[in-house]
Amino acid sequence: MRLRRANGRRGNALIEFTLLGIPLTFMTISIVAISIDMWEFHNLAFATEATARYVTLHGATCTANSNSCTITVGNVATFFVGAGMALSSGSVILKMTDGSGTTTCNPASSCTGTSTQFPNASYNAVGNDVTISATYILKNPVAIFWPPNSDPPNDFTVGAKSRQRILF
Amino acid sequence: MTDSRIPRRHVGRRSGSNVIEFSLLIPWYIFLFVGAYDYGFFAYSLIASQTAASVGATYCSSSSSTLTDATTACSYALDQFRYLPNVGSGLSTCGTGTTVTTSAPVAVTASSVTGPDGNTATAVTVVYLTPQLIPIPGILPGTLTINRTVKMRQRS
Repeated sequence: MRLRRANGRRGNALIEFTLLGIPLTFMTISIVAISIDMWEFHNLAFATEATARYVTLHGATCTANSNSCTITVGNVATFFVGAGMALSSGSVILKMTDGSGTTTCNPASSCTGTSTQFPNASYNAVGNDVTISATYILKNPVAIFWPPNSDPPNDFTVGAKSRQRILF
Repeated sequence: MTDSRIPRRHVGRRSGSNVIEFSLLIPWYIFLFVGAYDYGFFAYSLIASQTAASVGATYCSSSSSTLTDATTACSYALDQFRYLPNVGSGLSTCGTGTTVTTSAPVAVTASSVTGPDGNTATAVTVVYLTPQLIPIPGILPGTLTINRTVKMRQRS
């Protein structure tokens, strides 16, 4: 009798650990996932700001007195991709806006070879505004095991925007 | 597996110990998750605030007539916060002075000062109240008020 009862308890810890291991693993992965997500989130803000700054420092003066530092849409996209090192450049939608309108790079990496001047020559003057905005799709860390296109969704979009004046 | 040295009344008490250990562990896991989430938003807000102050100061330093133009500096500042949920695309005005509220979470002031080199400069201060996040009592507040000041010499 005593032996049978003792044997009945055998494996309890294993079963309990198996049952609790699932949520434990889920939460551990979720914590790592949200940490990476948040790193990407603030890297997106940094890259957007740095890119806008890059544009404002390569404006009107770059076309004057035989200077050759004029930049293109491709230069801007390449700078953004470099600054946003935490981001998957194939998942970022980058928008560049000057007085002539908005150039959309979907994804950002698709514009790295574009040779169109930016800011547009007609609006490339000190005091004019340029706006850089970007959106990025983060994987929902809580719903990391969710199938695609499900409810709740397994991804969500975050963005960043920076409007600055052309300085030089 | 039965250990004859362990009294029988103690053997039965081992059952369920994993559940108790898991229950003790869960709050820390939740805190870690919430902490990572909150700090991510706070870091984003901090970068946006720093950029807002920098862009505002860049504008205000462009001439003597813009040194104290907090209204235009406010419009530049707001454009750095557009993707934050409590600013969005609709907000077009800043709070009065350095006072921020949930309905006016961004405040911008611009003043004319003497820079460290003795020349005229502008000092732009941006105050931003973050959206309500999940607080961890005693460790992490649900909201944070970020205050950034940038001084920049008048250019012309």
